[in-house]
Amino acid sequence: MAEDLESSVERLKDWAGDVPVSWHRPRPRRVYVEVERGDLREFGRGLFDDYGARFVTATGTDMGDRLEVVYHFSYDPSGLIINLRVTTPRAEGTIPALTPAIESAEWIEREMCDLLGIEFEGHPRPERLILSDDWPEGEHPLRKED
Amino acid sequence: MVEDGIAEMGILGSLTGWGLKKSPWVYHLNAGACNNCDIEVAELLTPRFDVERLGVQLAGSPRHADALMVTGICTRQIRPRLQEIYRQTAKPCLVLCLGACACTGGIFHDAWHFAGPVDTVVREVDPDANIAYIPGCPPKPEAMISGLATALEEL
Repeated sequence: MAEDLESSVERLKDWAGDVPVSWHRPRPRRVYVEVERGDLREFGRGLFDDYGARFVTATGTDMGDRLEVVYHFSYDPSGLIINLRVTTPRAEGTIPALTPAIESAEWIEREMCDLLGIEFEGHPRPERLILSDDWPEGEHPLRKED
Repeated sequence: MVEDGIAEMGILGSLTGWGLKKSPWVYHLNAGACNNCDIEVAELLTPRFDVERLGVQLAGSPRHADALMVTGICTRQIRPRLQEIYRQTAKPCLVLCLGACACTGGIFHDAWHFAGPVDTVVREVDPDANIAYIPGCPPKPEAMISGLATALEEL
Protein backbone atom coordinates (compact mmCIF):
# COMPACT_ATOMS: atom_id res chain seq x y z
CA MET A 1 0.00 0.00 0.00
CA ALA A 2 1.57 3.24 -1.14
CA GLU A 3 1.91 6.22 1.16
CA ASP A 4 2.75 9.83 0.41
CA LEU A 5 6.39 10.73 1.21
CA GLU A 6 5.54 13.90 3.14
CA SER A 7 2.99 12.18 5.34
CA SER A 8 5.54 9.43 6.11
CA VAL A 9 7.98 12.10 7.29
CA GLU A 10 5.27 13.89 9.30
CA ARG A 11 4.22 10.64 10.90
CA LEU A 12 7.86 9.86 11.72
CA LYS A 13 8.32 13.27 13.36
CA ASP A 14 5.13 12.87 15.40
CA TRP A 15 6.10 9.38 16.45
CA ALA A 16 9.69 10.30 17.35
CA GLY A 17 8.74 13.29 19.50
CA ASP A 18 11.71 14.96 21.18
CA VAL A 19 13.92 11.87 21.43
CA PRO A 20 16.21 12.68 18.43
CA VAL A 21 18.92 15.26 19.01
CA SER A 22 18.96 16.30 15.35
CA TRP A 23 17.09 15.95 12.06
CA HIS A 24 18.56 16.34 8.60
CA ARG A 25 16.79 15.82 5.27
CA PRO A 26 19.31 16.35 2.45
CA ARG A 27 17.04 14.86 -0.22
CA PRO A 28 13.27 14.27 -0.28
CA ARG A 29 13.54 10.53 0.27
CA ARG A 30 16.26 10.55 2.93
CA VAL A 31 16.08 11.51 6.60
CA TYR A 32 19.01 11.44 9.01
CA VAL A 33 17.94 11.10 12.63
CA GLU A 34 20.57 11.33 15.33
CA VAL A 35 19.86 9.94 18.77
CA GLU A 36 21.79 9.66 22.02
CA ARG A 37 23.43 6.32 22.71
CA GLY A 38 21.09 5.63 25.59
CA ASP A 39 18.00 6.04 23.42
CA LEU A 40 19.27 3.92 20.54
CA ARG A 41 17.84 0.52 21.32
CA GLU A 42 14.38 1.68 22.28
CA PHE A 43 14.22 4.07 19.30
CA GLY A 44 15.45 1.38 16.89
CA ARG A 45 12.98 -1.14 18.27
CA GLY A 46 10.13 1.33 17.90
CA LEU A 47 11.16 2.31 14.38
CA PHE A 48 11.06 -1.37 13.47
CA ASP A 49 8.05 -2.64 15.46
CA ASP A 50 5.80 0.39 15.79
CA TYR A 51 6.62 2.71 12.88
CA GLY A 52 7.03 -0.32 10.58
CA ALA A 53 10.34 0.44 8.86
CA ARG A 54 12.47 -2.39 7.50
CA PHE A 55 16.04 -2.78 8.79
CA VAL A 56 18.39 -2.74 5.80
CA THR A 57 21.94 -2.65 7.13
CA ALA A 58 24.33 -0.51 9.13
CA THR A 59 27.58 1.27 8.40
CA GLY A 60 30.40 2.26 10.72
CA THR A 61 32.87 5.08 10.14
CA ASP A 62 35.95 6.32 11.92
CA MET A 63 35.32 10.09 12.15
CA GLY A 64 38.55 10.88 13.97
CA ASP A 65 37.66 11.84 17.55
CA ARG A 66 34.37 9.91 17.32
CA LEU A 67 33.20 6.62 15.89
CA GLU A 68 29.89 6.74 14.07
CA VAL A 69 27.34 4.04 13.33
CA VAL A 70 24.42 4.63 10.98
CA TYR A 71 21.57 2.12 10.99
CA HIS A 72 19.70 2.24 7.70
CA PHE A 73 15.95 1.65 7.65
CA SER A 74 13.62 1.67 4.69
CA TYR A 75 9.94 2.53 4.86
CA ASP A 76 8.77 0.74 1.73
CA PRO A 77 5.19 2.10 1.39
CA SER A 78 6.63 5.54 0.53
CA GLY A 79 10.26 4.72 -0.32
CA LEU A 80 11.58 6.81 2.57
CA ILE A 81 15.08 5.91 3.79
CA ILE A 82 15.63 6.61 7.48
CA ASN A 83 19.25 6.77 8.65
CA LEU A 84 19.51 6.36 12.39
CA ARG A 85 22.80 7.89 13.42
CA VAL A 86 24.61 7.38 16.71
CA THR A 87 28.16 8.29 17.67
CA THR A 88 30.51 7.38 20.47
CA PRO A 89 33.71 9.07 21.67
CA ARG A 90 36.73 7.25 20.25
CA ALA A 91 38.15 6.69 23.73
CA GLU A 92 35.01 4.85 24.88
CA GLY A 93 34.00 3.06 21.67
CA THR A 94 30.81 1.55 23.06
CA ILE A 95 27.31 1.59 21.62
CA PRO A 96 24.30 -0.39 22.89
CA ALA A 97 23.64 -3.29 20.52
CA LEU A 98 20.50 -3.19 18.41
CA THR A 99 20.52 -6.96 18.00
CA PRO A 100 18.37 -7.72 21.09
CA ALA A 101 15.63 -5.60 19.48
CA ILE A 102 16.26 -6.42 15.79
CA GLU A 103 17.76 -9.86 15.26
CA SER A 104 18.97 -9.23 11.72
CA ALA A 105 21.47 -6.66 13.00
CA GLU A 106 23.56 -9.43 14.52
CA TRP A 107 26.13 -10.00 11.77
CA ILE A 108 26.59 -6.38 10.75
CA GLU A 109 27.25 -5.42 14.37
CA ARG A 110 29.78 -8.20 14.71
CA GLU A 111 31.43 -7.03 11.48
CA MET A 112 31.64 -3.43 12.73
CA CYS A 113 33.11 -4.73 15.97
CA ASP A 114 35.80 -6.62 13.99
CA LEU A 115 36.71 -3.81 11.63
CA LEU A 116 36.33 -0.70 13.79
CA GLY A 117 36.61 -2.03 17.31
CA ILE A 118 33.24 -0.67 18.41
CA GLU A 119 31.96 -2.64 21.36
CA PHE A 120 28.23 -3.36 21.11
CA GLU A 121 26.95 -3.64 24.66
CA GLY A 122 24.41 -6.37 25.19
CA HIS A 123 25.14 -8.16 21.92
CA PRO A 124 24.17 -11.83 22.39
CA ARG A 125 27.14 -13.29 20.45
CA PRO A 126 29.98 -10.76 20.34
CA GLU A 127 32.39 -13.10 18.53
CA ARG A 128 34.74 -12.56 15.63
CA LEU A 129 32.95 -12.74 12.30
CA ILE A 130 35.00 -11.73 9.27
CA LEU A 131 38.60 -11.24 10.36
CA SER A 132 40.89 -14.19 9.74
CA ASP A 133 41.51 -16.62 12.61
CA ASP A 134 45.13 -15.48 13.02
CA TRP A 135 44.32 -11.75 13.11
CA PRO A 136 45.84 -10.21 16.26
CA GLU A 137 43.38 -9.45 19.05
CA GLY A 138 42.69 -5.75 19.56
CA GLU A 139 43.73 -4.63 16.06
CA HIS A 140 41.04 -3.15 13.84
CA PRO A 141 41.88 -2.66 10.15
CA LEU A 142 39.48 0.21 9.45
CA ARG A 143 40.63 2.35 12.38
CA LYS A 144 42.46 5.25 10.82
CA GLU A 145 45.41 5.50 13.19
CA ASP A 146 46.39 1.83 12.84
CA MET B 1 57.70 -31.95 -3.56
CA VAL B 2 59.69 -31.03 -6.64
CA GLU B 3 58.60 -31.92 -10.15
CA ASP B 4 61.41 -32.62 -12.56
CA GLY B 5 60.70 -31.78 -16.16
CA ILE B 6 58.33 -34.41 -17.48
CA ALA B 7 60.84 -35.33 -20.21
CA GLU B 8 63.45 -36.30 -17.61
CA MET B 9 61.20 -38.69 -15.68
CA GLY B 10 61.43 -41.76 -17.94
CA ILE B 11 58.51 -43.88 -19.13
CA LEU B 12 56.34 -43.26 -16.07
CA GLY B 13 56.96 -39.56 -16.41
CA SER B 14 55.97 -39.44 -20.04
CA LEU B 15 52.83 -41.44 -19.21
CA THR B 16 51.75 -39.00 -16.52
CA GLY B 17 52.62 -36.16 -18.83
CA TRP B 18 50.51 -37.68 -21.57
CA GLY B 19 47.62 -38.19 -19.15
CA LEU B 20 47.88 -34.66 -17.86
CA LYS B 21 47.85 -33.12 -21.33
CA LYS B 22 45.27 -35.42 -22.85
CA SER B 23 42.60 -34.86 -20.27
CA PRO B 24 43.44 -32.37 -17.53
CA TRP B 25 41.19 -32.67 -14.50
CA VAL B 26 40.75 -29.31 -12.87
CA TYR B 27 40.05 -28.47 -9.25
CA HIS B 28 38.46 -25.06 -8.87
CA LEU B 29 39.36 -23.06 -5.76
CA ASN B 30 37.98 -19.67 -4.83
CA ALA B 31 40.67 -17.95 -2.76
CA GLY B 32 38.71 -14.81 -1.98
CA ALA B 33 37.28 -13.88 -5.38
CA CYS B 34 34.22 -11.70 -5.87
CA ASN B 35 32.60 -14.67 -7.67
CA ASN B 36 32.75 -13.08 -11.11
CA CYS B 37 35.62 -15.29 -12.27
CA ASP B 38 33.76 -18.26 -10.83
CA ILE B 39 30.69 -17.40 -12.87
CA GLU B 40 32.88 -17.38 -15.98
CA VAL B 41 34.28 -20.77 -14.98
CA ALA B 42 30.72 -22.08 -14.86
CA GLU B 43 30.25 -20.61 -18.35
CA LEU B 44 33.27 -22.61 -19.45
CA LEU B 45 31.46 -25.84 -18.58
CA THR B 46 28.13 -25.02 -20.16
CA PRO B 47 27.28 -26.16 -23.73
CA ARG B 48 28.43 -22.99 -25.45
CA PHE B 49 32.10 -23.57 -24.60
CA ASP B 50 31.86 -27.12 -23.25
CA VAL B 51 35.48 -27.71 -22.28
CA GLU B 52 34.66 -31.32 -21.53
CA ARG B 53 34.87 -31.96 -25.28
CA LEU B 54 38.57 -31.07 -24.88
CA GLY B 55 38.98 -33.49 -21.99
CA VAL B 56 38.87 -30.82 -19.29
CA GLN B 57 36.76 -31.93 -16.38
CA LEU B 58 36.10 -30.52 -12.94
CA ALA B 59 37.46 -32.78 -10.22
CA GLY B 60 35.69 -33.07 -6.89
CA SER B 61 38.87 -33.45 -4.89
CA PRO B 62 42.32 -31.90 -5.24
CA ARG B 63 43.78 -35.42 -5.01
CA HIS B 64 42.26 -36.19 -8.40
CA ALA B 65 43.31 -32.93 -10.01
CA ASP B 66 45.94 -32.27 -12.67
CA ALA B 67 45.41 -28.55 -12.50
CA LEU B 68 44.41 -26.17 -9.74
CA MET B 69 42.30 -23.30 -11.03
CA VAL B 70 42.59 -20.50 -8.44
CA THR B 71 40.45 -17.36 -8.48
CA GLY B 72 40.70 -14.47 -6.01
CA ILE B 73 43.41 -12.51 -4.25
CA CYS B 74 44.34 -15.18 -1.69
CA THR B 75 43.14 -13.70 1.57
CA ARG B 76 44.85 -14.07 4.89
CA GLN B 77 42.29 -16.66 5.96
CA ILE B 78 42.67 -18.91 2.90
CA ARG B 79 46.45 -18.72 2.59
CA PRO B 80 47.27 -21.86 4.66
CA ARG B 81 44.31 -23.67 3.07
CA LEU B 82 45.55 -22.88 -0.45
CA GLN B 83 48.96 -24.27 0.48
CA GLU B 84 47.41 -27.40 1.98
CA ILE B 85 45.23 -27.96 -1.11
CA TYR B 86 48.26 -27.54 -3.36
CA ARG B 87 50.12 -30.13 -1.25
CA GLN B 88 47.21 -32.55 -1.73
CA THR B 89 47.17 -32.37 -5.53
CA ALA B 90 48.79 -35.11 -7.60
CA LYS B 91 52.08 -33.92 -9.06
CA PRO B 92 52.86 -32.69 -11.63
CA CYS B 93 50.16 -30.11 -11.05
CA LEU B 94 49.56 -27.00 -13.06
CA VAL B 95 48.39 -23.92 -11.13
CA LEU B 96 46.20 -21.58 -13.15
CA CYS B 97 45.92 -18.08 -11.68
CA LEU B 98 42.59 -17.00 -13.03
CA GLY B 99 41.79 -13.31 -13.22
CA ALA B 100 43.54 -10.08 -12.30
CA CYS B 101 43.25 -10.75 -8.56
CA ALA B 102 44.87 -14.18 -8.65
CA CYS B 103 47.62 -12.96 -10.99
CA THR B 104 48.70 -9.85 -9.07
CA GLY B 105 46.25 -8.97 -6.32
CA GLY B 106 44.66 -6.39 -8.60
CA ILE B 107 42.97 -3.47 -6.88
CA PHE B 108 43.15 -5.27 -3.52
CA HIS B 109 46.94 -5.35 -3.49
CA ASP B 110 47.28 -2.92 -0.57
CA ALA B 111 44.23 -4.09 1.35
CA TRP B 112 44.53 -5.34 4.91
CA HIS B 113 43.23 -8.82 4.14
CA PHE B 114 45.57 -9.47 1.21
CA ALA B 115 48.09 -12.31 1.71
CA GLY B 116 48.93 -13.23 -1.87
CA PRO B 117 49.39 -13.11 -4.75
CA VAL B 118 48.64 -16.76 -5.48
CA ASP B 119 51.94 -17.56 -7.22
CA THR B 120 54.04 -16.36 -4.24
CA VAL B 121 51.95 -18.41 -1.81
CA VAL B 122 52.18 -21.59 -3.92
CA ARG B 123 55.94 -21.12 -4.50
CA GLU B 124 56.45 -21.08 -0.73
CA VAL B 125 55.53 -24.77 -0.62
CA ASP B 126 56.91 -25.66 -4.06
CA PRO B 127 59.51 -23.31 -5.57
CA ASP B 128 59.32 -25.18 -8.91
CA ALA B 129 55.54 -25.12 -9.25
CA ASN B 130 54.15 -24.82 -12.78
CA ILE B 131 52.15 -21.62 -12.71
CA ALA B 132 50.18 -20.08 -15.57
CA TYR B 133 48.47 -16.70 -15.57
CA ILE B 134 45.16 -15.85 -17.21
CA PRO B 135 44.54 -12.14 -16.64
CA GLY B 136 41.23 -10.37 -17.06
CA CYS B 137 38.46 -9.09 -14.83
CA PRO B 138 37.00 -11.57 -15.40
CA PRO B 139 38.85 -13.41 -18.18
CA LYS B 140 36.70 -14.56 -21.08
CA PRO B 141 36.10 -18.30 -21.37
CA GLU B 142 38.02 -18.17 -24.67
CA ALA B 143 40.99 -16.72 -22.77
CA MET B 144 40.77 -19.53 -20.21
CA ILE B 145 40.77 -22.21 -22.93
CA SER B 146 43.68 -20.52 -24.68
CA GLY B 147 45.60 -20.11 -21.42
CA LEU B 148 45.11 -23.73 -20.41
CA ALA B 149 46.10 -25.00 -23.88
CA THR B 150 49.22 -22.83 -23.97
CA ALA B 151 50.22 -23.81 -20.45
CA LEU B 152 49.82 -27.53 -21.20
CA GLU B 153 51.85 -27.18 -24.43
CA GLU B 154 54.71 -25.59 -22.52
CA LEU B 155 54.80 -28.18 -19.73
